[in-house]
Amino acid sequence: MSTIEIDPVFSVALRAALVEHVVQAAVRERRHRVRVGLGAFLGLGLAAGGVAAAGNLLPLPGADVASVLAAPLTVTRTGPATVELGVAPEGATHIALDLTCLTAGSFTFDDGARVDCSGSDAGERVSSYTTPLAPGQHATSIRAGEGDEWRLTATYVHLQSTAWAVNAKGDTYGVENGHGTPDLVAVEATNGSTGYAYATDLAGAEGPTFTSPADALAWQAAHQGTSASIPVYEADGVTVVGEFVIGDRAAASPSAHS
Amino acid sequence: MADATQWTRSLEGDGGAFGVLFDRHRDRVFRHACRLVGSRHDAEDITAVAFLELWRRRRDVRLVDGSVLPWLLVTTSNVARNAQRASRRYRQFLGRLPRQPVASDAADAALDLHPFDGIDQHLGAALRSLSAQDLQLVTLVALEDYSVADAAAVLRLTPSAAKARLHRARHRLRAVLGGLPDDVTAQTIVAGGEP
Repeated sequence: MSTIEIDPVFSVALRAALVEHVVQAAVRERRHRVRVGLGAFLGLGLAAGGVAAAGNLLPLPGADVASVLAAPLTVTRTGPATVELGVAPEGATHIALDLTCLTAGSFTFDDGARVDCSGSDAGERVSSYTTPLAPGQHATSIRAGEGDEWRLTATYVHLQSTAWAVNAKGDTYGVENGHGTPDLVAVEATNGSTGYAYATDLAGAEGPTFTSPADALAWQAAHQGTSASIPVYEADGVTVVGEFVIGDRAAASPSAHS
Repeated sequence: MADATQWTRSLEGDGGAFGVLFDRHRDRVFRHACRLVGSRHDAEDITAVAFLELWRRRRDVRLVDGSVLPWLLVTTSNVARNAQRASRRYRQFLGRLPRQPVASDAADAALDLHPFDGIDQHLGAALRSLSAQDLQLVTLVALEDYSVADAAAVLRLTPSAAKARLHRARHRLRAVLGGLPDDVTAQTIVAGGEP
């Protein structure tokens, strides 16, 4: 009777802000790792800002692969709404969501991720998003302004990291995933070739592991104007196809191809 | 109710998993904050700061039986004791969060008129009189039903040291609550922790 509940408006906003806080921290940590490489890491996906390389259409070893476990459900709603998805099938780990805004507005997923649509996006722009399935979860919500219309397709999926491949030298190769980093990490070289760089070379060239953003900034300031080039190989770890430069482009070796 | 999976995913940058932990423990953290501070607004801020601290100090967090709740409750107590200093770190963050404009005033008014269940007000004052470590022990063992061994693990004490401290803290609480017979005081303290 005298129970005091937390202000629901505050609680919803706090939850969304915490979710964003965690995601942003992860993105910052990855940026510190990838930092100012002139080449690009492949396969880090949307969470790292999305480096989609042409010629990278086949999934690389170690990439996440989603298996669809149930027929997709599509609904059209106006304003904030919760969509019942039915009981999750055995083995479901995530819900794959495709949101299409049908009017201008802001549309927010359960975890606080948000899609902003202008009038010209209406009916055109599809935002795909995969969200982890919480134990017992059987619904998902979209927050939207009153009168803002949206269409959502939701599918229960099983998301699994594929295995890294192993070359003749016994080195694993592929993309970083939840299991860690393979010996040879997929990268795009400065000349546009895709290949692999040794994780040990990358770690050596990137500096120490930072324990705080302040450390990382201090290290960056101290190493401004310097760069390190490391070789990019084919999957065999022997044949060189280009180079991956970490550091300041202006300081990169004049022999660097572009 | 194991948090280990969500916690591991959170550490990998999965915001949704952290959201699940928030959903799971929000009410317990908020209720504990209400015990320690006088206003709902402050208790909300403390709840927010406790979860922010959970994330900021994520490398130090210890799970007890796979749960982050004991660590959150200890942090809530620390934050409540140092409310001003802790909130300053997150002032901008807290300032951006919206609140129900009218309802919060009404709730504060209701809170002033009916402070929880009347006895908790005394309990809050008594709890605030404890040292930091005693408050943590009483929170975990007397109010939240954790074992002395679990509480000792979170607080990095030996079980025997925790037990001795807890014994002294209970005596002190009885003295501060004053006048109430031992059994009533004990009931009150336990009742404050019921879900």
